[in-house]
Amino acid sequence: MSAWNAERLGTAVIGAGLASLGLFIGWETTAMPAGPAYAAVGPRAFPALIGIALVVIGLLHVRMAVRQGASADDARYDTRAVAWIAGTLIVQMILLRWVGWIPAATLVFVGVCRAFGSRRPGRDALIGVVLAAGTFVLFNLVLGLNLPLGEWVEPLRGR
Amino acid sequence: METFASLLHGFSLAFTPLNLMWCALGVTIGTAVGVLPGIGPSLALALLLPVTGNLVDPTSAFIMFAGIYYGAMYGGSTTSILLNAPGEPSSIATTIDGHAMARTGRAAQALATAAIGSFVAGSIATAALTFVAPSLAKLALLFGPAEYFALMVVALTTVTAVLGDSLTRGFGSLFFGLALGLVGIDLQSGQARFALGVPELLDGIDVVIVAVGLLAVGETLYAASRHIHDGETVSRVTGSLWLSREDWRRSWKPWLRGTAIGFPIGALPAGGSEIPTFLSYMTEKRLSKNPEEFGKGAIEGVAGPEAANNASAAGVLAPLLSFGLPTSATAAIMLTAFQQFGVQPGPTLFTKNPDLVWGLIASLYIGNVFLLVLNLPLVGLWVRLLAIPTPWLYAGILVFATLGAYTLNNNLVDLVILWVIGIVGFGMRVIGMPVAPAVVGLIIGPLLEQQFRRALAISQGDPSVFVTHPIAATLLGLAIVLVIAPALLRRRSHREPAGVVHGIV
Repeated sequence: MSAWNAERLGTAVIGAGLASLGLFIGWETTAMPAGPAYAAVGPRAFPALIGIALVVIGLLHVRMAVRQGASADDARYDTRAVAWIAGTLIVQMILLRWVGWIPAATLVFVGVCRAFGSRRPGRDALIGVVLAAGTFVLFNLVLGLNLPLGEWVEPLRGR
Repeated sequence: METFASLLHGFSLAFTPLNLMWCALGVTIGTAVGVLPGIGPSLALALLLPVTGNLVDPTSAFIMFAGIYYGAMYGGSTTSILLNAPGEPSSIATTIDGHAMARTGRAAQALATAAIGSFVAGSIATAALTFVAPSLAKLALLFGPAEYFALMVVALTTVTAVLGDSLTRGFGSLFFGLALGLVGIDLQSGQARFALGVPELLDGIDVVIVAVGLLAVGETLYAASRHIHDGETVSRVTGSLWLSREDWRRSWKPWLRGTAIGFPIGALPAGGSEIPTFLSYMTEKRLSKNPEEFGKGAIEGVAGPEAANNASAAGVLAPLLSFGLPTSATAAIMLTAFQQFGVQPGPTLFTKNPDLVWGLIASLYIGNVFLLVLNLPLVGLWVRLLAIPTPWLYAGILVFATLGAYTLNNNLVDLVILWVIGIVGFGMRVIGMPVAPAVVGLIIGPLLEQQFRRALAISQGDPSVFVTHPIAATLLGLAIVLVIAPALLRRRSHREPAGVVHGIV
C-alpha cells in the first residue's frame, strides 16, 4: 500500500461526504409529505434522483481513492495556516455582533496575514483597521447597508 | 431594421453621463479584478451583488456588471503575461507565450497585442451578439418545458464534462450544487425541504454565499496552505507599447481567427472560455510557419487566445439573455442578479425590458473602447497592483467575502454557511475538483426541477415527453454524447499527461 497523500485522503473524505449527503437527502425525502395527489410529480421526485446520484458519485470517489496507487503528487499542505484562517473566521462570527464590524474585520485581516506568514501584526492591524473602518463608512453611510457597530457601543450612543 | 433601431435606442440610454460613469466604474473594477490574482469576475460580481440591490436601477447595475465582466477578461492577460500566473482559467493559454515574450523583453508587445486583440474580438463579438441574441430569443419562444429541461441538461453536462479532467469529480461538484439548490421552500407545493428547522434556510442557500465560499474562502485557504506567497517576480514593461509593422502583420489574422473560434463556442451552451482559448492556441500553432517558436514567445500565441477569450465572453451572454441559461459561473451570478432585480432573462426579456437589454448591449461597445484606453496607455498603473503583498491581498479578499456574506441578509447563519462552503471549497481545490459546476448547478437546479415537473404535468406524468419532442430528444442525445465522447477520447490518450486545465475553476 502506498502512502495516503492529501489528494487520496481528500478524495475519500469528499466521496464519503457526498455519499452521506445523498443518504441524508434520501432519508429526508422519504419523511416528506408526497404533495397533492393531482400533481404528476411532487416535491419528492427530484430530490430522490439527486440523492441517489450523490450516493453513486460519492462511492465512485471513495473507490477512486482506494484504487489509486502511489501518486507522483506529494503536494504538502500547511494545515496550520488553514486552521488559522478557519479559526479566525469562527472568532469573527462569535464576536461580530458584540464588538462590531471594525474590530472583527481587523481581526480577520490580521489572522489571514498571520496564516500567510506575515511577522508584523502591528502593521497588518493598521492596514486592517483602515480597511475595516473604510468599508464601514462606505457601506453603512454611503451605500445604506447594515454592518454592526457593536453592542457595546450602542449604550454609549445614549439611545 | 428593428435591431438597429433598438441598438440606437440602447446607445441613447448608455450615453447618459450617469450610465457612462457606471460603465467606466465597471470596467475599472473589472480590470483590477482581472489583474489581481485570486479574484475573478464571478467573485467580484458576487461580492457586488448585495451592494447594488438598493443602490441603482437595474439598467445601470447591468451596465456596470457587464463592464466588470469584460474588464476582467482584459485584465487577466496582464497578470498572465507579467507574472506567469493566470488570474482566470481562460488566461492559461495566453500565459504560455505571453510570459515567454515578457522574459525576452517583449512584455510591452505582448500586452499590446492582447489589448488590441481583445478590443477587436470584443467589438466584433458584441456586434455578433447584437444580432444573434434577438434571433435566439425568437427561437426560445418555441421551447416548452421539455425542451428547456433538455437544454439545461446540456448546459449542465457541458459545464461539468468540459472542465477538469475527471468526469467523476465534475459530477461530484455538479450534484453538490444541485443538492444545495434543493434547500428551501418548494415553489410548486409550498413544502419546506432540507431546511433542518432553520428559518434562515427556508429561502434557500444564496448563490452569492456559495460562490464567495468556494471562490474566495476556499481559494484563500488553498493559497495559504500551499505557501503561494513567496515572491513571484513581476516582469518589467519596457519600451514602447506600439506594435511594429511585423507584429501587426503577425497579429491580425490570429485576432480574427480567435474571434471566429471564441464567439460561437461561447454562445453554445458549452460553457466557459477555456476551450476556445486552447483551440485558438492550437490552431495558431498548427497554422504557423514556425511552430517551434510557440512556447518561446510567439506573438500569435498571445493574439489568438486573447481574442478568443473576449469573443467567448460576449458569446456567453447570448444564451444568458435569450434563454436565461447561464453557461459559466460568472453567467450564473449574472442570472442571480437578474432575479434579484425581478427581471426574468429569456425570450420575453427583449419585449418586456428592452431598455435594460439594449442599454446593456450598447454599453458593451462603449466598455470595449474604455477598456482599450485603460489597458493600453494606462497599463503601467495596473502593473502596480501586482506589487500588493500577497498576505494583504488575501486578507482583503476575506474581509470583503465576510462583508458580502453578512450584509446579504444581516444574519450570522450566512457566515456559518460561508465557512462550511469555504472548507468544502478548499477540499475541492486539493483534490482538483472544479467548482464552477457547483455554482452553475445551484442556480440551474431549481429551474431544472421546475421545467421537469411542468413538462410532466403537461404530459400527465408520461415521461416519454422528453424523447417524443424532437428538440428535447436531440438535446438530451447531445448531452449523452458530451458525457461519453470526452471519456472515450481520454481513454484513448490515457498515457498523455493530465490536461492543462486540471484542477482550476
